Amino acid sequence: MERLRSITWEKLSYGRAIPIVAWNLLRHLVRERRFLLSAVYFVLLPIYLISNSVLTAVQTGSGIALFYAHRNISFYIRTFYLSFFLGQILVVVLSADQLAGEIEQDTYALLRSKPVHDSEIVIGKFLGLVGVVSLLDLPGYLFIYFYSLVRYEAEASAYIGTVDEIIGGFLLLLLLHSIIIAFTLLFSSLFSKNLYSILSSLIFIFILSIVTDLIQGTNTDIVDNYLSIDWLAQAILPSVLYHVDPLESAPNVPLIILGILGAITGFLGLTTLVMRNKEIF
Amino acid sequence: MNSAIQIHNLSKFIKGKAIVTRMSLDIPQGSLFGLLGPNGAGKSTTIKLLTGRLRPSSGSIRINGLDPWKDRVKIFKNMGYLPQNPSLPPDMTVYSFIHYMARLRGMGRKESQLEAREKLALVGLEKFEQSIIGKLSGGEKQRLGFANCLLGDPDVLILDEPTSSLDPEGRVYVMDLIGSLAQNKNQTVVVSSHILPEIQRMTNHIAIMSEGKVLVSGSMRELTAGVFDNVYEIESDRPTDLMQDLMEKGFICKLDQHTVLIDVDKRYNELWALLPQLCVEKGYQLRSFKPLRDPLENVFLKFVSYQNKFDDMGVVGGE
Repeated sequence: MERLRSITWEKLSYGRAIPIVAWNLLRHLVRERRFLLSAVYFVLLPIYLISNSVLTAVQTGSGIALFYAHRNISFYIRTFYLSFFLGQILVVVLSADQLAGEIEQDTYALLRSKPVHDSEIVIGKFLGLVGVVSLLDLPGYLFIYFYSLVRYEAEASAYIGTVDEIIGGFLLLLLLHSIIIAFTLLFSSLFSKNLYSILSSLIFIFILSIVTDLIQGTNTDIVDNYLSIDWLAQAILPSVLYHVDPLESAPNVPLIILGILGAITGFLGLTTLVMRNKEIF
Repeated sequence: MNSAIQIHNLSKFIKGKAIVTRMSLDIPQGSLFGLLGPNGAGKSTTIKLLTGRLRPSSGSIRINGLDPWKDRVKIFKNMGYLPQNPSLPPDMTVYSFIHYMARLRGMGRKESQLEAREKLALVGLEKFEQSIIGKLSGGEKQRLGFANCLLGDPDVLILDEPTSSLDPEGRVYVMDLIGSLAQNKNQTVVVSSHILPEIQRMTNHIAIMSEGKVLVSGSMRELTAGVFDNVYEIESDRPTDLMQDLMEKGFICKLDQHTVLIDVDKRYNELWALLPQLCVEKGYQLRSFKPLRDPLENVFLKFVSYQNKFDDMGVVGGE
């Protein structure tokens, strides 16, 4: 009975450290200069996009406003967040030192000197980074969407009626960023030097772009971006944002989302395995 | 006495080099245990093995019956660890760091606030709560590291060179603190150091290590029983005259400033009878009479030099 109670308590206490690690990472990373510099890029980008992509509208009202809001958001995500290389470099730079840097500076030993599982540290770091990237993504995302609604004079009901679309699109964006964070953490765990984890993550993004190019095959409409993760967006966005069927060549949406979640889980699982067996000299 | 830590035939090879070799040790519960040895003896590697930072190449370690590599999380529920020159996050404030560590230790928000403040006060850092860690001196960082390992009052404390970067005042403070831990809270404390007087002051059990091996271990009383130094120092008002008289009696002497160094060479009883006699007859004022080295220093030198001779002969496993 005593043993059973102790096992149950063990299970209940697992995960307790995850929000603590995540919150600590979030509140310290947002004060760092690299976050502020990244924020400059993430704020300037939508402004630049708006100034270049304002389409001439002959009609006004909710219909046309929503159309442009959706279209601009889709363009914003696909072309800039997913395809523009600098955005991904910044996500890598923010994430790469979370494990490698801790090992390099020997602060990881402090975390391991507390009753905390390596998986809790890894998941906590991951969630903290997702939080940081959300803070970078959200202002630009909302700005683009609502700018379009305001500019094309949408009716008041359009602001409330499209909340699910805003959330859906944002979650998709986060999901795609989360893949980058997850594999950057994996590389961060493999190396004890920050620089190596950054370089290896960038090389992996390059390899990923080649693989996704191969998967998308002969569809030449979307090959002009450096990183072709955007084919995923093209597959998912129509159903999320437009409530229409995805592209003909695209695989089905739930499968893609499951695939992304599976990939993230796989990367985090591998990271935990590496950290669990890592000797800290 | 129950053992808090049991090490059996432990070896660790790093890049093919033996850092710890077939080490066996029992550390009694509630003891202040010192790992003493010259630099490169394998003390820090042993500490890293004890705290699950490194995986043993062979052999086993049990801390309260658990393996630190496999059961690290369970062990650290009741163990604190202070690494050598602890690396602390430079951008955090002292309070936020210690509070964060207390939260990771499993304490609630309020409990961890109280605990953080209590431990900062214990190490004398209460005035530095809002200071940035990166701006603290080496000694203050060491104290902070010490406060961190005391969080939750664990039963076992592992301290790797705890006084290494402290100023003399800080050293005395930390040594006294360590000394009080075992007395007040029955904690088992393992301290590594290469500074013999510190180990002597802080601990009541020691193991002497050299080249990855434990040469001897036991309580201070066991190790120093029957150990006498041959060289004594005598302080007197007229050291030159006293030296002359002793040399006439066949003792080998040397003058070192105002003290006479004398090699007793098994003639201890003879000297013990002669000295009072000389004081009475010649009117010397004897100020002190003590062995040049203390007993533990003799034990240390005896075993380390023995080990070196053993290795020079090419004998393997001279424990």
